[in-house]
Amino acid sequence: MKNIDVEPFAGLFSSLAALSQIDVEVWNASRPVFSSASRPPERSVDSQARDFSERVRRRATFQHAVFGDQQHVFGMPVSNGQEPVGTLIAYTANAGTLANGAILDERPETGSNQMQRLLGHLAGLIEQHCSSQTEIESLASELTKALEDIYVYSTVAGQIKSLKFPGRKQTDLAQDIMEAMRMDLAFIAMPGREENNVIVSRKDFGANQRDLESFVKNLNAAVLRDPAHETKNYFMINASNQNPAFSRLHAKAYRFLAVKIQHEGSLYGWLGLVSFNSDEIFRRSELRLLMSMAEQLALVIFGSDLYYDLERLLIHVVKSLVQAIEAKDEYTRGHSERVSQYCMLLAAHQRMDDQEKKVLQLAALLHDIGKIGTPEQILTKSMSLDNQEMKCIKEHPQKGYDILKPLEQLSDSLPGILHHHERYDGRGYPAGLKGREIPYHARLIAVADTFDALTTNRAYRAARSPAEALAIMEKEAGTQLDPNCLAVFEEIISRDLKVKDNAHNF
Amino acid sequence: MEVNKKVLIVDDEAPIRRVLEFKLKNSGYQVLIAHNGRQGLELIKTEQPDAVVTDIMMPELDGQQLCEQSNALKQARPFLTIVVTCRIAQDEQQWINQLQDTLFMEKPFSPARLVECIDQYLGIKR
Repeated sequence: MKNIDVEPFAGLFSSLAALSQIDVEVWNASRPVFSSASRPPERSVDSQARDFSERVRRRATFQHAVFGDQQHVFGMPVSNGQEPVGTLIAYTANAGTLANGAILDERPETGSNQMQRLLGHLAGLIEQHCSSQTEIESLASELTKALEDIYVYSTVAGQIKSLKFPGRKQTDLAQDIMEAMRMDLAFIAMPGREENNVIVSRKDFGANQRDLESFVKNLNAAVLRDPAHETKNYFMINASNQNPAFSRLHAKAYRFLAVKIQHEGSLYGWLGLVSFNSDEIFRRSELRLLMSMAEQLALVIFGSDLYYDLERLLIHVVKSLVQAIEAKDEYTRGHSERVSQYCMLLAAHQRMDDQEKKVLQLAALLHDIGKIGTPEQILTKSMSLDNQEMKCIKEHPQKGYDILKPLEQLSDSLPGILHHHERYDGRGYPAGLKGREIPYHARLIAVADTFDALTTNRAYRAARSPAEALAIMEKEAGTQLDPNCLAVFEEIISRDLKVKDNAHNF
Repeated sequence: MEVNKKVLIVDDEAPIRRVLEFKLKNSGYQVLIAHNGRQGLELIKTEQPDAVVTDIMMPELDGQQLCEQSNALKQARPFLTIVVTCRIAQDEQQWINQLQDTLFMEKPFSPARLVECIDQYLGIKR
């Protein structure tokens, strides 16, 4: 009972006092919190009143007493729905003469009854008011929690949408979950995928990364030792100090929640949270939220696994296809694979992103695929080719393009394939493109292709050494080959040669 | 923990008022309530709150007008204003940058964060 609980009735009580000289006091368990008398008389705090209030509360029924000679006092308990938490006390003006008997009948018994009814009504009003206040308060509290949940959902949902492996996105996700749920530490621990593991902690947490890692490792180990982890999708400890297996992992008491990251029966790992705020416990809504985060995370991992599997499959299929074609000619065996390896060195040097690397790799692997339509005797001929045969050979970029054109997944690689025989000076084929008109990948493949052709045996000549090959190519800079691409290639190959030289000397 | 600071809530939506009132009172603040911008501006002048939390879309005087009209008072007596609302466009809240001690908080918002913001501005450590 507080003053504000009675406030709405202050006007009612003072009117009552003015009309019928009944002063009303409201007491909580120990003292008056309201009095309708303009100047609270001393009786408010005297021990007689205190004892009377105490008696009303203890007996939990209407009481009547006479203080001194003539002061009639009536008391009614005020309950919170379960037990009396206060009392409503009415003092009448000098007994007997009260308000010309308007309310108090001359016969004390009836007067007392009427007073009981009046106080009963008034106490009922206060009780009703208090209970609706309590209800509003609990609704507000629930609404506050709901708003916090919505906030977390909306913050984290944004991250989930853009979540991709591999990348730093899962770090952002962990960071968001930690901040939005007001935790001190969040982690994603996936055995066998350590590169995707994440530990984030609040700035003011103060532990170094090594301590954090060992704490998280110990937490995970402790979870696995607990039999509960096998049957449940989550693991929750609201007070570490009550669980010996967990209390020894950190000097301070903490609470810990971890949920499984799993999809269709395969368990990838755990998404976990730690808070050192032991005033609160984990709410069910937080658990549910974290579980749905973990589900999303698992789905992303599953999806990206599937994606990489498919991508690996594609590359393998392409390599097998190329090998099958090259098998016809012992001189070109492994050529496409080597050209693609040189291109990957170039790509790494140029800091291409993964997507572009893939496009270049496929173009390099498939650049000669059009030779599938070239008669074997022309491909393996050791003497110089006549015009007709030359024309036939020169068709292979266009043939390759035509063969692969229906495959949507390869569409970005087609320009590299179609134009790998263009010359920087514009005298190449099939389109006669010049300089920067030639697609970048095609210019890179041209350099790698030329180098591999020079450094391997041909039907008509023996292989050159890498240094010799580079010297020959140097002369073609700006005519056949893009000088910039060639410069980069030379840098990479010379570095490679130097490493080999050194290895040879030691 | 009692904090001897006043926070004014200006919002025409009762549930939001209740939530903010609950959260702020639990954090020990004295809470004043206004149902629209005009009442809010009155209370800023008469009660001199230490912080104001306001919505934007309100009858009578809206949140932007409230902020702009009360901004002049901040020179003599600075106080924090937090504008809580949904972001529709990225640059929509640019007017807030022109005002003194005024923050934007996007809905859905976290009541706990809002209290933290006020604590921080008023230098209250818990």
